[in-house]
Amino acid sequence: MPQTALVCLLTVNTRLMALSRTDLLIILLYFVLVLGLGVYLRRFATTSNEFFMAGREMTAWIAGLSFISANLGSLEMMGYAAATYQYGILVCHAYWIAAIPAILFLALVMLPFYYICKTHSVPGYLQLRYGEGARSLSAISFAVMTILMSGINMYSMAVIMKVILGWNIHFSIWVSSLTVAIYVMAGGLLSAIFNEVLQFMLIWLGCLVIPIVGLAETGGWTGLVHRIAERFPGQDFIHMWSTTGSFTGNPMGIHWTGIVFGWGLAISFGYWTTDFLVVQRVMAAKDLRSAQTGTIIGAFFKMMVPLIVILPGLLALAVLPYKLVPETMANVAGAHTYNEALPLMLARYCGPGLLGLGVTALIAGFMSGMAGNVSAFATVWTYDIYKPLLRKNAKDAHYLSMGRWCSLLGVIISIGTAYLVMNFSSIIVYAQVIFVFFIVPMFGTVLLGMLWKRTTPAAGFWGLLAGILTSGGLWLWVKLVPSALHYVAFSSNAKDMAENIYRAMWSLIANVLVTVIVSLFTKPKPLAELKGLVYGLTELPSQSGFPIFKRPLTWAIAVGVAFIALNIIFW
Amino acid sequence: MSEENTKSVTTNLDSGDKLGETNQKSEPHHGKMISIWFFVGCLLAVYGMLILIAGLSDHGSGRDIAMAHLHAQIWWGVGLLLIGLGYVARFRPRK
Repeated sequence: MPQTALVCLLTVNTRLMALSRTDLLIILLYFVLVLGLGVYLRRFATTSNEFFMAGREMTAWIAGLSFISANLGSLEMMGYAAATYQYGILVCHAYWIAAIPAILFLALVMLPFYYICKTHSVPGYLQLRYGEGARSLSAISFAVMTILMSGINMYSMAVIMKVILGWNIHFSIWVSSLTVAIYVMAGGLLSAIFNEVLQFMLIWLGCLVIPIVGLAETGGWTGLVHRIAERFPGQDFIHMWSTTGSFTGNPMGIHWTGIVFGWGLAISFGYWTTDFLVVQRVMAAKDLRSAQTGTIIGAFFKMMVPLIVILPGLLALAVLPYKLVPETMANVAGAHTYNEALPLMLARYCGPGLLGLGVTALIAGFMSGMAGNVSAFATVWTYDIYKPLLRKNAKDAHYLSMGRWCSLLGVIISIGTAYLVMNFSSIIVYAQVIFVFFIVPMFGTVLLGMLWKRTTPAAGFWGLLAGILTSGGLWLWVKLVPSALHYVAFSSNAKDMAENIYRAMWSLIANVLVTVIVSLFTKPKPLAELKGLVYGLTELPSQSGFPIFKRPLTWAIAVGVAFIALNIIFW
Repeated sequence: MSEENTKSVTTNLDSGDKLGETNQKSEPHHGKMISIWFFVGCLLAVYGMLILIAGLSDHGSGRDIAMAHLHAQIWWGVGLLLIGLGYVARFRPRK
């Protein structure tokens, strides 16, 4: 998901919490276990397939938890808790409509094609379907963006550790990145996946304290709603849809069409179905049905994440004795910013020990996020850039060692990026905007490739490029001529988040139009070459041999029903 | 994951998988992998114990924690310890 930026936390000098000896011991034990796991797993990563694809042996549960965990970063959690304090429960759309339909679509419609063609990566699928042009464009942009995001995450983590614990920034950057480098070099994707499962457990067990104790404090949901209304009269923080009938009726300045088509369709489908970082996890499942079931398990837990992110944000609105302020006002003596909402709530309810667990959960979130970025980078670099463009026919051992060294290289470039960001913090804002440029049009290109056999290689490349250029162009237009916002986002009231969402929508439209038009005027690939890649020419294994409760479709419907019910309850 | 874990990790979603047999092919040359859940269990059990001890010794010291009368640390510590031990018992490496 596009992560909400946590910019300039540096302005705060005092730390939020003091750790006891038990807390430090808990954090230390986590590092010991992670390094030990890396050493242990090295013996299981002896071929390139094992290193890059974890041998394709993961069960549905492990693939699914790792899939959702690769997405659930600490930066995102703190960012969305902060956004909830600012915009209210509206932010929950990020976890529901902007995730669940797309994840279920990935599981039921797109995953079979990724899985059956045995590709190693999403750019790898583009190569099989469209050829080298589309692959190189997506591989290079993915590699650059992934490593950039990794550096940004690393820097943000160091800043947060400084703000909440008073730790030295350089210390945090070097200790965490060297740990990640060691365990990813040793075990590859397997290490990354193990750590994601560990992170998943830690994040849930570390953060669930907040909603449980918090709701006890407010006297349940009704008490919570009552307290918020008392403290912020006239503002609606607790409805997801009923305030989105106009651009001005809600704190975010967005219309429901933007939520559904921009957020729910363009950004979310782009991210969930084509971002290799998450798709790689389920590609590592042991068979197609496990991959699909795992993805659906992931969707279920994604739907539950608001419990530990959105609810703490709402609780902060209700119970914190002071009001949080925007980043720009952080210099006011003693004021806390929106971004500190989650750590503040953690410090509010957690005594010694529990606090250490919460902080470990946040550190684990950062480190496994970094490991995810680095292992995805190493895969795309080795398979989609190095192998086809630089060295075609080397031995397997050569690519394996390339993967190991690339993981180290990825960490080193990330550290460099972190220091770059330290000096030019506006990079964070730009990077997150630019990330959407690349990820959104990928969806149109991949989906048309999977479902329409007429789509031609040229259309794959030009459609992708058109989508990227459209969002880049629109972004530049608003940057240079601020009044253009009225045309891009339909409203001069649109906040940054709303603008991003509408820009994504235009990008997807341009991508689909160009892909379809170019396809109609160029020569398609012969059908024989599309076997196993396109709907109608691919044998999809039947699930009818399995009892109903073992079929992915059954569980997808269950998650879908719960998703609809939740939206109605919080309408 | 090894065949054994395939069966034990999963719930009814996945047990008795016909395709699960493919797992065995790459096992022989580096032995059986210990389940990730075993490591998770060890960590949680140790954490549970530490938090429980901290909760008991911190009891009534009057630190500035909201809702301290609920003794969240003690409940949470016991919970983690039980979950952790449960995972360790279920997924311990067997000869």
